[in-house]
Amino acid sequence: MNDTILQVNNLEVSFFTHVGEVRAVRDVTFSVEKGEILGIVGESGSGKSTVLLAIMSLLQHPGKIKAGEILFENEDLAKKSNREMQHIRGRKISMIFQDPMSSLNPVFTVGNQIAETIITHEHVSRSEANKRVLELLELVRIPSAKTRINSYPHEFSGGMRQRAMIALALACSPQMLLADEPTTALDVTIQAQMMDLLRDIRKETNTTIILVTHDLGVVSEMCDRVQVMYGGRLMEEAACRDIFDKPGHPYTKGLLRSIPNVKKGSRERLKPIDGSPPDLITPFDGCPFAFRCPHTMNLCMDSCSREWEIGEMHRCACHLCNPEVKALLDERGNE
Amino acid sequence: MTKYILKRCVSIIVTLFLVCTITFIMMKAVPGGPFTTEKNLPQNVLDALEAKYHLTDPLWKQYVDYVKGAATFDFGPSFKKDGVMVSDMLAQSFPVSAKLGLVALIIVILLGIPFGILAALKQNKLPDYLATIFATLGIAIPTFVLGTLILYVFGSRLGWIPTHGLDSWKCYIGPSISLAGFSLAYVLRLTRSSMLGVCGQDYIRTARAKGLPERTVIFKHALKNALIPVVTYIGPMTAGIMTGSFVTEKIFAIPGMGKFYVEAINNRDYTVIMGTTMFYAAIAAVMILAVDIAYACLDPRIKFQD
Repeated sequence: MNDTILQVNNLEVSFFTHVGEVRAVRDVTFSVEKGEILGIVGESGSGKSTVLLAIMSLLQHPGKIKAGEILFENEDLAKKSNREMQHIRGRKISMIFQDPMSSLNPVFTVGNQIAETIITHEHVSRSEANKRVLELLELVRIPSAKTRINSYPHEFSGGMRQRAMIALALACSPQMLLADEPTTALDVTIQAQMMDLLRDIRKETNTTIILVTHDLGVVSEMCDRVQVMYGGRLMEEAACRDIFDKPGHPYTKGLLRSIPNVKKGSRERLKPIDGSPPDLITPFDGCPFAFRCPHTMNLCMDSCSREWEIGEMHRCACHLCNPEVKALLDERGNE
Repeated sequence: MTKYILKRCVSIIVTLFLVCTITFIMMKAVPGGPFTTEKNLPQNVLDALEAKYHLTDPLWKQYVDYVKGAATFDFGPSFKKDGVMVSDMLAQSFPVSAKLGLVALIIVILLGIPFGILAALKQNKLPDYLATIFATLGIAIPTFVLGTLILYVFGSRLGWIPTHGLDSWKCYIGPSISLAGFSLAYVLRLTRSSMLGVCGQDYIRTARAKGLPERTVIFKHALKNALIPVVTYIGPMTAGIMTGSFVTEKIFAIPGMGKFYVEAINNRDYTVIMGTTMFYAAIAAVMILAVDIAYACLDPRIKFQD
């Protein structure tokens, strides 16, 4: 380990819409180690999926990478042409999408769609590709793969389709797998199976996985490291256990408080975070969480905090973690 | 599959029988007959004519004779053109209309679909605007204006194309363009909107995420889905184009089926109306069947129910 596969530096992504520039991702910097499972959590519109699409250069008009670099194998993906990206997508980095129902083309067989990727990138014969497809379908545990290879997506259930999507993503043994809420559209039992599958795949192939989700349960089960995003900014990142045990950012704390406790007899009420997600169109340089945060200071309205080291591999972008601010607050508390 | 087609053929026969019956009833319901126009004929001549063409028979007998004839593709003689059989008229005029229609159909498909795709890919850019303007004009301008305009400008003023007949390939230019105009514009617009809809689908994003070259994404993954609604329109359109258009044939003086059809209605030429209607209905029914078969080839979600 300790071998960085992906380094994202100061990434800025905006959508230039009719009503104005929507700053979906702002100044995001992070790195991913080879073989780890990194979770990115955040609510809808926090920019987590946009980060993945930016890595793949799949942002749709009017979205654009405004600034920053995405270093993968020492090459900046943000500067690559579409043609150059075609050799990376599906071969070195592949992606699984949220809705397996609509992510497979309805007019081609599942086998055809997987084989197509292999043929495109590895220039093998169709029969060779089909052999590989069969192995892949078995790897993702699709029963009676031999007949299923010729099935159309509509003949598959939701879970099977997501398995097929995973097989598709793994077709060329990519170094990195981006999973954009892969279980959101599936029911709970299938979710668990999908997570087992992804974990096994990581174990067997040592594929790096970035898992975007809003499900903290999934994160706690799957991830080595977690990043929390809010309003297009990275709020906190830490090892998985630290996020749950000693969250640093008020937003992370709020997020954890809003998980229902299913312990027997627990009659505790959920504490949702007050307010609503930030408006990303109005220019605002303060902390995006300032309007909902219980600890907002004047400082928070003026600038977003840099990331402070608050533990081993644990960074938090909150002014409260600034030692100077902390000292000041302590002083005031003593008076 | 075979069973399905056979079943559909039976239903086509039933449809044609109904068309035949309704046409017969409507012809008889309209007052007047083939010999009541023009100058007044003496009563005995009229009687003799009606007797000759079996118009004095009881209605049910006329009907039965019609159906019997239609079943063997024999619609009897024309009432207005002495000694000309309806089936001969069809046999002469249909190939003319069909040849012209085929040229128009090729124009529609070869220009409409590619330019529709182009417009969709260059959405809100110059090619899209040009295509949209063209499509709007094509749909808004009626055939008689388009045909007359082509005839006047290119035929009579510039002398680039002949003004009538179908003797050389040049003769096909004017009428086929005027015949294709509306359908071309419609197919273009349909392809564009269908393509735009498909390109926003998740599976297109998946295709791109697989690292497929853009042309494979467009021409394999998007096009096959986008063609489904286009095929729906092209089927019945083919039936319409192949059987000729009265307006185009009249403007360019072409002895096709469309002209016969309208003239027959004006003349109350019962047998010709019957023949052309049945013929058109048969072609339309076959084209619709062809569309349904094409559907199943394009979209595996559509299955024939045997």
